[in-house]
Amino acid sequence: MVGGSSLRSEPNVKTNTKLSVLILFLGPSLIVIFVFFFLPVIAAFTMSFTDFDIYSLGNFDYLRVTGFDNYKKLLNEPLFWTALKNTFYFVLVGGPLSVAASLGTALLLNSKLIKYKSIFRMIYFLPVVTTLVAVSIVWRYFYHPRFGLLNYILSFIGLGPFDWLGDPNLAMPAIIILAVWKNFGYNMIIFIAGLQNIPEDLYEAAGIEGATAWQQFKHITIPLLAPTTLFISVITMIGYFQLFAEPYVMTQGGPLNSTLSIVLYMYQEGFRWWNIGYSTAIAFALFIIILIGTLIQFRLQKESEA
Amino acid sequence: MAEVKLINVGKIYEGKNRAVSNVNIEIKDKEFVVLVGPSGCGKSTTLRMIAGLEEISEGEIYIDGKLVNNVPPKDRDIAMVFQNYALYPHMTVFENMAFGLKLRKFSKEEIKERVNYAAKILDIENLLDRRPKQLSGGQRQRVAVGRAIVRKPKVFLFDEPLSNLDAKLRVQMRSELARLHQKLETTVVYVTHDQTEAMTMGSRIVVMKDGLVHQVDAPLNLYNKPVNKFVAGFIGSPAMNFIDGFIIQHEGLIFTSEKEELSFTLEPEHAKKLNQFINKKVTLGIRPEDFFDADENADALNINLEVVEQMGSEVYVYFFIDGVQINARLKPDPKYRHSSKVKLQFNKNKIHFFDASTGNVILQPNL
Amino acid sequence: MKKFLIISLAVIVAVMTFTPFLWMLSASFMKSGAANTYPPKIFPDEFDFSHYKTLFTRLNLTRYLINSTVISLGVTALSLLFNSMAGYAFAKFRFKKKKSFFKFLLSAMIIPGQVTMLPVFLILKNMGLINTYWAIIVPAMASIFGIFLIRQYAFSIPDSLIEAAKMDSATELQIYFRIILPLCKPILVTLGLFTFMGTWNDFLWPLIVMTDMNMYTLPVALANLMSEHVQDTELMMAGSVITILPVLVVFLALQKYYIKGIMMGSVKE
Repeated sequence: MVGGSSLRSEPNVKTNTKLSVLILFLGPSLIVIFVFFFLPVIAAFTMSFTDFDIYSLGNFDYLRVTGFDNYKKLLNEPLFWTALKNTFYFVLVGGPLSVAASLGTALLLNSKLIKYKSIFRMIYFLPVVTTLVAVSIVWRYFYHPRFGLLNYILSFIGLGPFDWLGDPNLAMPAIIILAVWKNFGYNMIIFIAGLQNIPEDLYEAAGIEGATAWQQFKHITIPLLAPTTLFISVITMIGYFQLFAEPYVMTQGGPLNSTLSIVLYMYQEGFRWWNIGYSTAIAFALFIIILIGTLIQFRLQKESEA
Repeated sequence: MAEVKLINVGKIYEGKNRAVSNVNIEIKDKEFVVLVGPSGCGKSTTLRMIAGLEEISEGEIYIDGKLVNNVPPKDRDIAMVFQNYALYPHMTVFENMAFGLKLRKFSKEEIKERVNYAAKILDIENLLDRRPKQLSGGQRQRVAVGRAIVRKPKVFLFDEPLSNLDAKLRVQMRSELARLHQKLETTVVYVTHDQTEAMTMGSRIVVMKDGLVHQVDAPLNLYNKPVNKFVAGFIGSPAMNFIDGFIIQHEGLIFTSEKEELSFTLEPEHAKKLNQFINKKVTLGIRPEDFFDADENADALNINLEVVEQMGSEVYVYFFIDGVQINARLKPDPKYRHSSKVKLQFNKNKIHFFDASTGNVILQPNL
Repeated sequence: MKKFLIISLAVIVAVMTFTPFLWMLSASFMKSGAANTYPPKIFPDEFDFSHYKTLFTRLNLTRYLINSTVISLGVTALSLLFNSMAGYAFAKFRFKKKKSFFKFLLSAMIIPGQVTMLPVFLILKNMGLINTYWAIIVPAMASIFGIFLIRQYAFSIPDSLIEAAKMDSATELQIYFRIILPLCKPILVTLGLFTFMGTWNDFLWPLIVMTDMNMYTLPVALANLMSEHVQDTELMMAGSVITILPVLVVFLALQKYYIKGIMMGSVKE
């Protein structure tokens, strides 16, 4: 009867915090978030229905409400479709490759056969924390058609030389390789934690029943890792839809617009040509695509669970 | 000098749920008052209202004659010891005890003096440089008390301070706290769910249930003259036995249990008080220690013992009357064994009767 | 055999991961033109520090280093203060609609930052903050993710500690500064690390709001340098080393906290 009551014996009957205290603690951050996030979202949404451009920037009298014109223009603009296609290429090929690389290295580091795990983990993780612009520059030289290390290595197995960043068919794969290299470490950490949450005795039981390593992976690891995989897939997808710095530094969207991404296109329209209304419409198109992508992933997950 | 007065105090949270209603308690200076009751009875809420950690929804609370309803905790001149000690983990023992004084801008010397004095009383002088993590449960408890002492408050509040300790330590701390109270001569309000703690420590006890005060009295009065069935059952361990039955008029008044396994004639002086309950349902209450061995007495209960617990100094026996388990405390005797048949009697001067519909007492023993 | 396979696989991945860094470092010490030879050299024939010297003398890198440092530290300090206050409030204060309000904030995180960029730029322009440090610091002073992280951690602080401090006559600010902040130290380090590295590495936003060369952060300066010195491989590598080095050092010193942060961020509500 006694002893077992470290729980508070009464329902939570706490008094509400005073308004002045709430304002003191929540005010600063909520104001920042409102002024620099929610307000801009609303403003962007509004602007996407206007012809806000460099002239209206100087004089608001030039501003006109144009309804869905920006979105119509967007759908009729070949460059937008190119950017969309490129971005999907990057997300649909680079995304799964990244997740696979993360899972593979996580399995590797989770193996009991490896010593010095923390050193391997640290090395694998290094690309994640380094500055994207800097490593993009490094990789740019790495990809050099004549002097690049990559072509040199490939020449040993009789491949190449490739003009990685100069060939429209190879530029996006080159960016994908860089992205996988840069990002796999992050999700690897999450996968390792997910793997460590799978109880060891499940594998022992399966082993006793004669399941091979592959069968164990397929019937224990994959299903139990599903929530982690979904989470990782969603954040990877969201991140990859926002591709920008890699093509900006390495190819400026070329060659022949083969690496022009939606964000790069938006940046060019907005901050180079100051087609502000049009640019915000691109941003909202991106948002809607990300939203749909997220919902699809959750739906797929639900269906596989059912 | 500090009395604490609660007048019609109530707590309603989120505008609808009632946690406490109509609490009236007058706590005298230097008194050790214990609020006791089962979980959810409102005792902690009441204490927290005195502390100023909860707003008072209804009524008034006075500390030292001053209305404190709208006074923040820091200005009420009170100190509180929490159930989980609530020691600041990033401060040493000394810093923990000094924190409140520092915030009140006491001089360094004064702080040092007070902390050392408290540490001496509590025998924790050698722990002052340690962090809470490095202390045992009992030591943490002492530091928590020390933090309250250094402030020299008018009133000490204790919120289940011993419930995280093991049984042995709890008994030890119980007497230590009682001794401390005598030494410091301050008013103490103490909350616990453990009636033993309440009985052994309180100079007066407030028994609460469902947000209501059921009885405020000195420990022995509570025990001997509970005002209702709840208090009677809550105070005392092992608990009072209850048997439902009826009062019947038949050559005087007779109590008969529902299944008629127990029936006896009431003493004439009791009968007078129970007149108006003739043919009504009542509950008979008998404390375990009021049973005794009946030998060959004809009037005795013939009992089949179900369980026997030989304690050495006494023996607890369990049996059934009307299908209700009854517990009796008797003098040890090897004849009490599982399923042995014995004759028992109970002290008819010490029985209690409760109105079965309201639970209120209708007959108290005359002591 | 299996062990050998797995270990060699792990080593191969490590070599693949590490080679770009190794080459970057090594090329930065090569004589001009030495990195553009065939077959490529892995190590410099002789060490040449002149590229670093050029960067810091002729190319004004000191200025960019200072810009990046001030901005990153400023964002980190201010956002830690703002986010921890709000995170603590969302964890421990009581007010109406707290939960649903917080859920609303969390769900807003799905909106990509690019959506807000143009309006934020225009707001900052109106405030006259473009080409000042504030253009990066002010919008980053509070983040929903940061508030979320602190809130999760602050839940673990027992209410009774706060109440004990109240009984000890602490004001709300004293409770926050003297009890909550010290107890939140681990999560503050984690969040600070995330913020510092994120700000240091960020490219798009500084590129937008810093049009004056003197205000460039390192990544922007580096990308800009690239357009003029694309042939100077060794110089560019030296610039990359300088850009990466500070975050790398900070990360290596505090990587435990960084890893923890990833885990916390990946815990779903």
